[in-house]
Amino acid sequence: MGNVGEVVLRDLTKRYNGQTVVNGISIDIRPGEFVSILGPSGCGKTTTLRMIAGLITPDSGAIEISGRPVTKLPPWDRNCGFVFQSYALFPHLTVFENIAYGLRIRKWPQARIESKVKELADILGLADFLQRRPRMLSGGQQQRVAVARALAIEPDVMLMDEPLANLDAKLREHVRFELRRIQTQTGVTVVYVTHDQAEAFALSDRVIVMNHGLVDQIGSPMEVYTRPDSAFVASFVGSNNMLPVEILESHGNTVSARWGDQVLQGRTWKEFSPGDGALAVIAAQDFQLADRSGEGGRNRLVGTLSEMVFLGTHYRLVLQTTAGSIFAELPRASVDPAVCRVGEKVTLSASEVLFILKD
Amino acid sequence: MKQINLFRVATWCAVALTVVFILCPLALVFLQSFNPQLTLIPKSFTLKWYTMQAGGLGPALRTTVLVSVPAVLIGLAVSLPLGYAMARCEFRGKEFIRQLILLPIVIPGVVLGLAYLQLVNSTALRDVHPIPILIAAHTIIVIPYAARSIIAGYERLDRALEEASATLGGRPALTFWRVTLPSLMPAVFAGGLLGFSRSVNDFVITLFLIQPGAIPLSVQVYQTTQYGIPQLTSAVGTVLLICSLLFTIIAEYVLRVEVQ
Repeated sequence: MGNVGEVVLRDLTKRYNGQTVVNGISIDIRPGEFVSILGPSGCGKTTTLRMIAGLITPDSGAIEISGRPVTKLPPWDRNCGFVFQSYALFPHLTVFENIAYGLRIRKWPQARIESKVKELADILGLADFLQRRPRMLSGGQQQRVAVARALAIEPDVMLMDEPLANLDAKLREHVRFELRRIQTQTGVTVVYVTHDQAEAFALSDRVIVMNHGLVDQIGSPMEVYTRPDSAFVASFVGSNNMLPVEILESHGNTVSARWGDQVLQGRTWKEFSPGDGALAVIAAQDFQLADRSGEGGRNRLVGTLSEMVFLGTHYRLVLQTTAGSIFAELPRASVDPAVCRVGEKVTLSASEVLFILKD
Repeated sequence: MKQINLFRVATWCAVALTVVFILCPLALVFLQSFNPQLTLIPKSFTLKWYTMQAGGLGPALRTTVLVSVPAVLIGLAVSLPLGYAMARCEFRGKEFIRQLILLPIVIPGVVLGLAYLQLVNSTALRDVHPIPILIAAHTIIVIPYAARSIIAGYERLDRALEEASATLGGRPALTFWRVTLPSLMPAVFAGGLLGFSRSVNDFVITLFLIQPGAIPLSVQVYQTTQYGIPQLTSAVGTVLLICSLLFTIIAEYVLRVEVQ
């Protein structure tokens, strides 16, 4: 079977009390892929994941896993590994029995269960804890038991619902790295739900950005980050300035537009004609300090510095221009605090400007 | 300083009242049950009241076990699905049923006992052996306590546990036996013990339904007073006291462990 681990969602819809939570989404996930569903709370990402697992029945639409229609199947017939945000480890069972749970249901012989649990315990660094109860473990260890238990059944697809949300920041980064390693090692398809873009970008082959029950954009982390498709993606991913502009000229991918009394130039993947309204997206990191007297740098924006916060590796600046305020993040080394002071006139130039449609 | 002293005085008053009105009388009953003569302070020690045929301690203990154990088991068996419905399902009249479950605690035992007596005497139930009838009545006594504990247990249970079992291949029946019930065990145990203790102690409802040869401990204490031997009554009473103390303590302990 060439398509073990493939997940296909077609026009999936779910309503609760007349409110549409997931609105006819279609997604194709390739075998062995690590895909994140990214979005704010209430965007329908967890509902989508639970529908794949069979924990929620869709109102309409179809789900296929490994080429098999599963829309009507209960969760116990789907062979999906599910990692819950709360881990949901069985408190009355040892770590070993937690991991072996699905294998006992599948009536594996004892010897095979033991070798499978041992193999997973080695991969996940749990070998020393197998006889303990879950509550004797730290959060990170519990999380790994939850992953091991889901992996043990050799699932067609691993579904993870914000599995790192309950870990502290330092551990989260470590476990994130671990998850990616395990996925590479096992080659299992992973669908990973998160509201944390750094997590989604670090882990995924592709990111699915969801909002209001709809898929806003699907693409590699790089694509989603540098080429946001909609105002929502641009505002949710990265830290972007979103400036309302009027298109002046458009030649292929090159556009110039007016923001107040300033003119901005940049690229686009949309069709614009002069006079159209659009949004100019400028990432906070894409600004440089420009020499006020000289002509260097495109997209020069002059304004008064109204805020300046030191954040360790960089400064965060807010600039009040005649057209509105913009914020920028500049590397520490490029800012001279003696010259750059709140209340002073400062010129910033933007190296990258992307024009997208207004919502 | 003054406030602390006041608090101390209140505490000591409470302790003194407890000793005078609860512990002293109970201690007296306890001592009397080992007293061969009818004196306030025993001069020698005997177990004859415990072994005396007329005291009926053996049969009464047997009846108590025969009534209360099945009543608790049936009460738990009813409370488990009830608890599931109350904690997991939304349906009309749920609040009404919640009140209904607690009704047996609110209704005076005399009225309930009388109602059962009339029900038994005016129907074919009058030919039924008294033990099953006592079991039925005691099930009603047990259910409020068992159900309350189990509903609370269900409400505390993380639903994701059952969902995890389902995604790992567990059908609902298997999930219930391997995940839900073990996780509910402390609540089931606590509810069962509390219900058992209530059942063993019930006097009022039981009094209406006893027949010769089917008299549980709580009523037997009262029955022995007709012999005019306070020590005998004390012996039966002491056994009842120890039984209920034991079960209440175990129930408290289990509840406390569960809260942690």
